[in-house]
Amino acid sequence: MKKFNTILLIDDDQATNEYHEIIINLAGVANNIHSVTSGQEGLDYLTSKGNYNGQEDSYPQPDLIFLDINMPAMNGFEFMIEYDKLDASQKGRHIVVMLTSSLNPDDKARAADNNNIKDFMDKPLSKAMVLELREKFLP
Amino acid sequence: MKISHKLILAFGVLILVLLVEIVLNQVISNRATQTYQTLQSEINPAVTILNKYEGINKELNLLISNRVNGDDRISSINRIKGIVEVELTYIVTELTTLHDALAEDHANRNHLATLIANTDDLIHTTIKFKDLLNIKEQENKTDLARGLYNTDFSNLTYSIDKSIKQLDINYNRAFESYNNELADNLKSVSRIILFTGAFGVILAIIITFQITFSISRSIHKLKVAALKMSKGNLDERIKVKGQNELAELGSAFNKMANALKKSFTAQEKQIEEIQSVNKELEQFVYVASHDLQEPLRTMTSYINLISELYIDQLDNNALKYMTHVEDASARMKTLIKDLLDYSKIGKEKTVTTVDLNAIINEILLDHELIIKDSNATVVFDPLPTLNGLQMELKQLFQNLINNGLKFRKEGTDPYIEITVEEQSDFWLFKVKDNGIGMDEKYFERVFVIFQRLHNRNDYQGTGIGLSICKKIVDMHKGEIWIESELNKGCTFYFTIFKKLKTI
Repeated sequence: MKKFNTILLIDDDQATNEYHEIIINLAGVANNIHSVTSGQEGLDYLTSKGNYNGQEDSYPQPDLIFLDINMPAMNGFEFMIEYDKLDASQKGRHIVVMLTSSLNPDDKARAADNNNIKDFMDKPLSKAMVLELREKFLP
Repeated sequence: MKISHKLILAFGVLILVLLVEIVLNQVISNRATQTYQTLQSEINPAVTILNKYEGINKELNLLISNRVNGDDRISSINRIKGIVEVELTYIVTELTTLHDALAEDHANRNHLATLIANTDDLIHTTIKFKDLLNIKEQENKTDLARGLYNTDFSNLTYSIDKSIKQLDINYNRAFESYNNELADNLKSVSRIILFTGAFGVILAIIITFQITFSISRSIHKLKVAALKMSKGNLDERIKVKGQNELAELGSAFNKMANALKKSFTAQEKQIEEIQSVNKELEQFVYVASHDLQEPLRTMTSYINLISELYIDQLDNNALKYMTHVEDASARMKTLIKDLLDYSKIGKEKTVTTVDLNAIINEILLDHELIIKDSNATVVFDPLPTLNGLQMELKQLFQNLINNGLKFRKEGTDPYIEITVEEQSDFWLFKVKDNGIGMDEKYFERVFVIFQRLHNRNDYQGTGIGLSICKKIVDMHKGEIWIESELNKGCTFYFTIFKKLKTI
């Protein structure tokens, strides 16, 4: 079965990140999982800047990014604004936005406006949801 | 000047005018009476006597003339006797009375004196004449008589006649002058009455108009100000002029307006404060329940994980404890969700036209499965279309129907009936079920948030359904209450205001 090469988890709550890592591993859909606890760190990771100052010419380009909306300093939508400015070589292939509350229609509408956001879900992820995503994005 | 003083002055003047008229009237009456009395006592009797005397005089003259010329009749002789003894005597008495009644310098007094003297003479002369003719032996008595007649007698009667005529003229003149005087007096008095009357009336009219005008203008100003205030303009004040009673009323009005404005402003401020506190509370509840969900989710996730991944390493007690934690977390999740839902009710405050029949049908469709499973029947009257909040009204009916299905009697198929009754300002709805019912001591409590009547194991739910119903009914300006008996089902009554425009 196909796997995502790298999945990037962006959530300010470390416990949530750990939980999602476990779920994804249980589902067995990813080769690599990297989690960060802020939008800025996520950008640094994608652009190999800041703490990830390393090989300038190769970027991680994760297959899938799980993005929390409610984060301090830079929330999910603000992250997307910065994300849009990235080079194509730096961007990931897909993004999934996750909700903090149960399907707030305003957030959902706003997410639909952004072309890079391919799906919108409730937290927490479950094994079934992750498998569904694999079906959807790695046919 | 004070209005009461003005009025007293006006009335005073009028009364004064009236008094003047009365006095003048009295004066005139007295004058007229006096004149009349003078006429009666002085002039009338005089004129009467004089006229009588004139007649008697002429008659005597004629009789004597006839006697001299041979009239020997007894009737004539007797008549002459009668005249002399009675009439002339009587006339003398009357004339004397008239004479004596006159003042010393009165013109007629002398005339009357002369006339009286002449009359006496006439009497004597006539007696002399009579005696002469009665002497039997006298020769030439007829000639002598004639001679007497032609001289003394004629002179006397002529003189008397003249006197009478003179007196007559005098008395008539006096009568005329009295009349004229009276007429003049009447004229001048009536002129005075006319002028004072007119003056009084004009003065009264002026004062009446002035007072009425000032009163009604002030009243009008007061009315206008009061109406403006009633429409919400609390800054309206009256311009106060002068110091009379209406000015006092105006000042009092202004004081009242000031007090009203102050009180209103204070109240408005209070209302604003309360509203802002309410908003804060609403937001607080929303945010709190919202933020509470996040860590709860984490707890639930990890507990599940532990149960799944480490089930081998957990003994029965540990598993039991884990189960308790799981259940508690799940309950908390539901509680928070319900709290969130409760606070969200009416956030969308747009009133629209809602077709209740469509709503009930929607609810029945949503619950198709459970209705079929429990073999339930839901019937409803044709329901009205009314003004309200679409989602909330659906929630209201849904909760009640749900309860009817949930709290059913064992062994009895649920039967739920929805009816409606039109009242003057409200729609009265009735949702009746045949379920387990409740004791009347719980009728109020069940509408309180998170209040339950049954153990968690017997019936699920957080106890928020009916408090949501109450909140929704309150928003629609209605009331909700229960009629029920244990084991005999429940009937929920609630009213919805017919003319809802905004929340």
